[in-house]
Amino acid sequence: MGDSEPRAGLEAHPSEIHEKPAAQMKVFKYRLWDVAQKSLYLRNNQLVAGYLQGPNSALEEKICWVPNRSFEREKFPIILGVQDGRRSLACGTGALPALQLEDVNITELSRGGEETTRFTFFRSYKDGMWRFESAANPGWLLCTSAQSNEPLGLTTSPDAAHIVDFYFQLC
Amino acid sequence: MISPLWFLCCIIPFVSSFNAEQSKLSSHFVLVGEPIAIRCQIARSPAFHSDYNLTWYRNGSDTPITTETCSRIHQRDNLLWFIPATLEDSGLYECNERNSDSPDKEYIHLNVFKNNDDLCFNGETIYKQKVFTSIGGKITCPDLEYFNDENNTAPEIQWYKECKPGLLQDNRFLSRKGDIYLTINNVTMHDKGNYTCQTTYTYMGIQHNVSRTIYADVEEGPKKTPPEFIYPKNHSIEVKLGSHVLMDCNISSSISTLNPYWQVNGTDVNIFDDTYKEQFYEKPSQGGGFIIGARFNISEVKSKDYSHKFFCHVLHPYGEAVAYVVLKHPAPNIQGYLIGGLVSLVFVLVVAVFVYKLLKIDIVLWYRNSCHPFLSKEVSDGKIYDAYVLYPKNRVSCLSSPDIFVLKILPEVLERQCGYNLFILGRDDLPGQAVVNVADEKINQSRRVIIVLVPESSCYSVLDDTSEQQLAVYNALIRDGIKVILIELDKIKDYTNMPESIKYIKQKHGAIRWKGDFTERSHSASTKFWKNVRYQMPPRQTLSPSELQLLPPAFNSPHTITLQR
Repeated sequence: MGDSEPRAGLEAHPSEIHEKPAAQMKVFKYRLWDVAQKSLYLRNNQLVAGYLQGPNSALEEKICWVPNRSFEREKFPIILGVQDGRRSLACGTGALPALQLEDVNITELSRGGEETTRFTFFRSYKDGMWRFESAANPGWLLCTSAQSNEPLGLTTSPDAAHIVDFYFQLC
Repeated sequence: MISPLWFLCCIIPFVSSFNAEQSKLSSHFVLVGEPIAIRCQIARSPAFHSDYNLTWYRNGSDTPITTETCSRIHQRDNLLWFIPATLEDSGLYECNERNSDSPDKEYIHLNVFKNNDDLCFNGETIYKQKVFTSIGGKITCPDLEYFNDENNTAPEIQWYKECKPGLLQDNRFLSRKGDIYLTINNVTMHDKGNYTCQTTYTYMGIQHNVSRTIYADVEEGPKKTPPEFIYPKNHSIEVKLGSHVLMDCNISSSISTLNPYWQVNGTDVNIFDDTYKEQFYEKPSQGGGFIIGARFNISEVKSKDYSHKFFCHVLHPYGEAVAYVVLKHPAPNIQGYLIGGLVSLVFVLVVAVFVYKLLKIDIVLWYRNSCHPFLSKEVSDGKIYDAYVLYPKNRVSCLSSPDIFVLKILPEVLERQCGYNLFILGRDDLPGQAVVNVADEKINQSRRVIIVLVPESSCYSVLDDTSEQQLAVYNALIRDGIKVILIELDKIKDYTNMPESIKYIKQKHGAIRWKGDFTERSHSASTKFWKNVRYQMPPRQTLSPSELQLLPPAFNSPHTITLQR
């Protein structure tokens, strides 16, 4: 629905977003970890994938998500957040898109709209694992490095060094 | 052993609070005798940057850790190396950024452990990983990137389960040479457990063991079957207009993070009605898998809610599943009304029958009094008397109670008060007439025969005058079907001496017993006794005296007569 829906454009008034009836989303916590078993944690305001040893496993960052109803549901569009949904994962749209965490609550973004595109990821599922494609950067997938303790990133070329398959499960 | 553990307890909350903003303190764990390389996280340059822009210190010491690579503890590139670590190395370390406008500092805590007794690892150093049945999985020997050998080739790894070698002899387990992964095919729940991977790191000609232990958890894997609806199931529910309904789409799914949603009339429910706030939920289910759902409240069911199906959709990797529920007006409770109606009808009938039984006589008398004269224009039955009174004649001079009753009380009540016309032998017959003739004639002209009975005594025989009695009973029972009213003037215990016909009448119609006295004071016609007598008497049908006089002495053909009140 969302993409094909006629809209006023990017300069839509913020109040218009609030007027649109939003689906109320209760935020649950999920684990997101890559096929190489790296968990996510926060370091220097970045989501980093690494192996958390012993008591360090408590540092794993739990992921919150909401569906973004502005986009086709068949693409499983979602918005990812950390710290109980207070900060959302966004993609830059430069020549080389980069990931960053922004201080926007995912429940506000769940209202949808063009403004939420860069926070949105389309998902695809295979053999129990999900891939996350940036809605703002078609072809760019969420990835971890084969090296541990490297930040989460985006890639167009999944390979041994760029892991794009994630387990995504309720805690 | 005790002191590092104690320290750990104190440091964990510290670590957590720091982590929320920036990792300024991190914990590292190593087994005694094994090498470890620690990276300072504030380092902006890659780990193997050649510039020495970082300085490492042991906490409390102003002397930087040496960069002499032959030293057991040294700084190489930007990493802090312990080759190998000893128990005494446990403690805080600090890395400082040099050549920076804003000097930054990071603390590292190193925990050196001995193996647990009889084990090849220490429980504090375990990594947790998870694999799934049916989809297979791999576990990883982590944090080996600094331990490539001098030729920079990945180290060869040995795998142990619960510290026992020979894991790879089971061909479900696969580890390619130079690969840090252990692939497990056809994962079963039995594959849960502690896996230890071990490799070697040769430094300065000395070979050191490097080991990691992973606890592999096994979970039921997602199935390739679509999610199953628990509710709704393409059915209807009966709800009253204006009532509150929770619409809860409840689905069992083996895949997490699916997102069911409600639609009605082709649009989302919140567009159909903006008071319908949909909420999504997910929880683990008991037999593995998840319960996912979407629900919203209809606080007041409106008319429009009845006219559409409410569809719950869930998109899943293999397609889409849909189920609906329809709201229906509740059917009127016919059964309830029926049962209620029947019960009240039966109740009313029982009450009516009871009241009738209780007040039958009063009702009939009241009816005769108030309605009968208006309603019926009766055809004359040709009778002159309402009753022929038959009573025992006084044989000797005894107390004359039957005479008083018959000649005084009975006429007083029935004739004077109630207006009946009685024929009493000995009062109404003319002297000289033959008793048998008079009786025959007068009984024929009477509507009832009243037989007054007294207990047999010396004074009275039951009914002495046999001819009169026989006639009366013959007329009453056989010829004209005249109704007989038995009145007992006292309790008659024994009917054995009575004639058969009297016994028969007593048995069939019963008798009315007089319980009053025999004084000549006025008697009221509304006592129970008199009501009973009046009830058995015919409805009053007294002709006006003028009409009576016009009638021939004996008439057989019926005449229309005017009723008189």
